Amino acid sequence: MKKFKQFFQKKIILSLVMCILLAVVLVSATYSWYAMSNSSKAYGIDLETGGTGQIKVAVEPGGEDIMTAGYLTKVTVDEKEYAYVPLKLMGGLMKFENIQDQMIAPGAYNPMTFYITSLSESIKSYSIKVQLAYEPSAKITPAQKQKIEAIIKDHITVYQEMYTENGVVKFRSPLTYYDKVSDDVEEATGALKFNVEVPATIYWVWNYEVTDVPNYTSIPRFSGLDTRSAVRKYDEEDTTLGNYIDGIYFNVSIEGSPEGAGD
Amino acid sequence: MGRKKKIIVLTVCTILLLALSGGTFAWYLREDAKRAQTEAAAVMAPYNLYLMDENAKDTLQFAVGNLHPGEVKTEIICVSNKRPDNYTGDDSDMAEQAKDSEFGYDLMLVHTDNLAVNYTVYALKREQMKPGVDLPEGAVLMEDGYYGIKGDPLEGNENEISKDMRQKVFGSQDISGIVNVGTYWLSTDDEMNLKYVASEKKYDFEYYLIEISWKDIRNFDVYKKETDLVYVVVNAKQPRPVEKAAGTP
Repeated sequence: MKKFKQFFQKKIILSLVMCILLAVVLVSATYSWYAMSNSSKAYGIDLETGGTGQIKVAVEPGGEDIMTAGYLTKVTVDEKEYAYVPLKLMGGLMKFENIQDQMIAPGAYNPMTFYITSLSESIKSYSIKVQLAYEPSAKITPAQKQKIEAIIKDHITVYQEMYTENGVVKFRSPLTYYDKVSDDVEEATGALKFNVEVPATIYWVWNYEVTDVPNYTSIPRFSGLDTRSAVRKYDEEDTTLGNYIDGIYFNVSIEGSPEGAGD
Repeated sequence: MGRKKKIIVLTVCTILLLALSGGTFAWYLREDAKRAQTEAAAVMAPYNLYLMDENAKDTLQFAVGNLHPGEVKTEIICVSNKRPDNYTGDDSDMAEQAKDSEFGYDLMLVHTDNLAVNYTVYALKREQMKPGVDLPEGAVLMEDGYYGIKGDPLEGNENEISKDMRQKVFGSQDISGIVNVGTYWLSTDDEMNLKYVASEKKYDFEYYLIEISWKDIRNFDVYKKETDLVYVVVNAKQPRPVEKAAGTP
């Protein structure tokens, strides 16, 4: 015990320990500083503040971050919190000839735009991934539910790009859906610039005919069918969906990334 | 060791402990992902459409039978969104799941080209016969104590539709040698609708009278042994949706 005391009392050891402790404290403090990025004044510019994390996501231009906006209620899906966004905040549903107002049918499509701001110099791009969900009709049986699950992801697709060809609206760059939010799926990506609000639009589409479904020939139940039979089968599936589901909705997860947007 | 030094050591250790826990706590708190759930978009009810016999109960058995020159045969059909009682299709009865719906449809008659017939389609209004009340002029007797009143003949499109449909079936093939090429007649009335009220389980039934007669032909002998087919097709109208122009309600 006496030897230990003597050892510890040696000034050099003591000061060394103190220096190490000081270094650790400083490092963790500065690391948090760069990671949080919540200072309201840096380089003399007013930074966008709102929420935690490195990006701000709003559903209206210049709007509040969806996770901290008081007027948006929160829902929990798979132990993660989601902000519930009413359709009218995102511009409501598009209107189509031949479709009842405020409703959707095969051939309908709608944009979803998120206004994303990078809150840190090191965040250079965003990535958006989507999960498809539906509200089943009241009297649906488990067997019917299984049938819906097997087909719905082919009928409703989310795309990154919309264009027109010969007067017909078309889409490209489809995303794939996640089951768990940690899944690795095809995401919508784009570039971000520090402190600049960037609109990121994705389109969900109820593919009108089977020929509109990306790569439909590689879907097992359609492969091997001639086009006319495939079209008919798809149309019958549309009728099943129309009869057994009341509505569709999406869970969207958006993250910032230090990597560039690639292409 | 002196008391002073003990205190210093203790303080330093406490600070270190706090700093570490603060650092790791900040690490876990940092939630980068923003998540949104959109409100559900309501799905429109799909169209279910059936062709029935004039009794509005059974699937249509359409048979013209023997048709002699100068003769006019009539056939009554019923178009409805109610599934016939003797339906043999595979799907379960959708009516239970049905929501309120209203949709348009059109009527198409197809016959093989070598059949020289004329047909006219009339909208028919079905009324119930009342005991002791005479039937009005021109009434058509129907099953189960009903009669029908002929309306105006339906307007139809023949040439363009035949061209279109042949194009769809045969493509750019030369069809001059093909015997069974179809000739199509498509109704052009935009007001043909079927409505379903889910709360009352109320279906819609619309009746049509089809009159078939031979065209005025000189050498009937050529057609003497013809056995040909006439198809009646009803299509629920569901064209590819197009964005409404800005400003339209």
